[in-house]
Amino acid sequence: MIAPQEMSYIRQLGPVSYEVKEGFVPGMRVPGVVYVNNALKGLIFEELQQAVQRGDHGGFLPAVKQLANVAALPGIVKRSIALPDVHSGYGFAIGNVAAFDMDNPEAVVSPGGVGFDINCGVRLIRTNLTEADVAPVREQLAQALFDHIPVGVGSQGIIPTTAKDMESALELGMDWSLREGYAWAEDKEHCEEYGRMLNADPRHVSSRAKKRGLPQMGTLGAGNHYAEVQVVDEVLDPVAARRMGIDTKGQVVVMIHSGSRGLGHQVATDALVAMERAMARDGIVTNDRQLACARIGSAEGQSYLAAMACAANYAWVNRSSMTFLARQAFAKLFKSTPDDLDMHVVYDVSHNIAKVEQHLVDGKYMRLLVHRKGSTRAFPPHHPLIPVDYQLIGQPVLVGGTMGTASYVLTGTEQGFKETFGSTCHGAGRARSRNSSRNKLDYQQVLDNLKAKGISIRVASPKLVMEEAPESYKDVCAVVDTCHEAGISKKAVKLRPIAVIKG
Amino acid sequence: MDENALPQRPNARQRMRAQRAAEAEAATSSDQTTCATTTACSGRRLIPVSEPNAICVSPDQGTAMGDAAEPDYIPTSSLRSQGRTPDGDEDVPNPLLLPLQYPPAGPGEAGNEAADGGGGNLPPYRSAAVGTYKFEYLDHTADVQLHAWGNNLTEAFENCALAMFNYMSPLEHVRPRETRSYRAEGHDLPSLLFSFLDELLFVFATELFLAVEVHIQSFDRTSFVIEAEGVGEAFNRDIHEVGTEIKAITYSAMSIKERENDAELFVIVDI
Repeated sequence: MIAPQEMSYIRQLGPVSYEVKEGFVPGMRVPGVVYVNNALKGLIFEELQQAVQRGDHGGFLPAVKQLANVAALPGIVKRSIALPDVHSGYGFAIGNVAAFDMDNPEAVVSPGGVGFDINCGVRLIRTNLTEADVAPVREQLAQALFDHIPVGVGSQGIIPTTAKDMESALELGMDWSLREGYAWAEDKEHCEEYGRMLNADPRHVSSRAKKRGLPQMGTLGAGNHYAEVQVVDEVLDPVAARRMGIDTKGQVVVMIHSGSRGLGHQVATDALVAMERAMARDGIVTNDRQLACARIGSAEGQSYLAAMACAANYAWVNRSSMTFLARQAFAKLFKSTPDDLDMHVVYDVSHNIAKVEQHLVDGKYMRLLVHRKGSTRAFPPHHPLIPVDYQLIGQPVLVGGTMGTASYVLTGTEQGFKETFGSTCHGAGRARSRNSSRNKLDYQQVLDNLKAKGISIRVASPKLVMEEAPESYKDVCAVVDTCHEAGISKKAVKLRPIAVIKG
Repeated sequence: MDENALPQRPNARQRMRAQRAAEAEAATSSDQTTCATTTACSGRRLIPVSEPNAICVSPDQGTAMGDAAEPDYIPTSSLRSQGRTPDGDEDVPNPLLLPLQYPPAGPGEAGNEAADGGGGNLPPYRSAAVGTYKFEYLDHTADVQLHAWGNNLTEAFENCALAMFNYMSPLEHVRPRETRSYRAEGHDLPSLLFSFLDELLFVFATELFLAVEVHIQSFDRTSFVIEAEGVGEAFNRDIHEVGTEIKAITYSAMSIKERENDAELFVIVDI
């Protein structure tokens, strides 16, 4: 039973939204809002209850408290938003969106609001193959992808890169991939920021970060990253699906979920250390030591934004490299060319990033620095920043499910643009700790479950199979349904995996 | 499960075979138990059942340096070195199908059935210690919390480093063949711990170096500087088991507690 004191600050706003009133933690400047349905709310409040019980002995702050701590940061606008897949993270909860007024000199930028894995994101590549074409060679396909794409602890990139290439890649993002011949020109069109953040400046990236990033260029990573071969299971919005080119039931697509690897993590770590020092100097006080932040206009703030842009570019280069490798794998196996297989990028979204955007708040336009941590941008139809061919349907949003469960393609809506600064969920969100998954789940059972569903799997680490089992995650269908019900994004296509490659 | 469906790693199979043989032997002669904790020691060590009052003995760490005649590991980026090519060894069952032996079976497992939340059944203090090491992994929704302890702060720091490496690849397979030196600086104890673990992680990320032993040679509490030495070897897919990659160290819920003859640390690492 959670202390009634805590619960008195939380009230229901609508069928799928709850407000966390100011005063839940000291210093809140705006309220918090949590989008969650009945199926999921138990997990969030359970986290809160556990934390209240643990007290001081090695626990962690629950997501709801973190949401409230973020609402206490200077310069925050409107409200601190939590999406249905929210769970406890570093400083900011994962699934937390917060926007700060760029024109307010007190407003801050926080690396915790972006996440360690800068520009962790998802890319969807379509093909013109059907499940029937792939079924006889499914195992070979999984093996081919596993052989082509380096995954897991200690994996090294196989695309040759020098330190000088690295500098260019950090500055140019997908333009570098295009120049080197790894990406197609039309890939850029279907990528957020056209695959390159223009304010990137490699001089702000430490040499430690570059050293960590160099051997890992073009690798998938470990943890919850994956490459999946999926098929279209259900077309829920035929118009949107047709525009995206994935409107045939049984059509094969490839989904890659990956980020900026060691480089992004090092950039975030370096920034946190620098900002901690700056906080004392600039007189910024927060409720939580991990909410290290700096004034947006300060040297540390600007340096972080430039380095973050480099890390974002690095992640886009990574995803482009893996797109290239996936195209090669398919081409070799089906004795065709990627062009003939129509392996175009449907879209590439980023769910750990901070962007400068214009939003209408209380009737006036404001320039905001929107932090999306574990949350995907979901811009509505007719927004100038989305590709020309998606203007009528809105921005595609790629929501990856867990290993063996469904993934979704959604589209952005006007309501989402108004309510959540055009943000929506990013995935299933964890429900159960990694440690307990390792101890409690039997990986043979997990693998058998996957095989029973007709999914080929290649993993580099057996333990990861248990940590990443679907049982450890929230139900992605519930998460997506909540977003759909709240009107912040609209379901378009449901995808089902047939092959999974994990690190 | 189809034999060809899972990655084939020949050395992993040999390793599993040898381990199973060793365990079959040990099981028949298993008559060890843990000593009662005394004030002199805050860990639990193995002692023979027949001598309940035995002074606790240190686990055998093996020889310090390995065979000097073997060449240094030279990381390459070819697919071949990542052990991807399957071989034709059909008669041995696939190691991934065998029940996992991690962590090594021992009395330290008593607390592993601890609740994963919901209802407040928190595990008994330090009960989930991995093998005979002085560290355990605590529940966290998305990441993992390292909990390490020792007779003093230096030992706790060393054990925390081992906890980190063990999560990425079980240390039982890492041989003490090479050394690396580390230096970390901070402005207070938490930042020193952060910096120390970050340095170890950085060397792993760049050189794939796993340390099975960490010795802190100097721990300066006034200027917050640590100089340490790690003994281990570079990660090799053919020899070492793949664990879970740690992306970064965080200050999240970090706590450092020091008492008379006992120190403990809690650190959450980002997965």
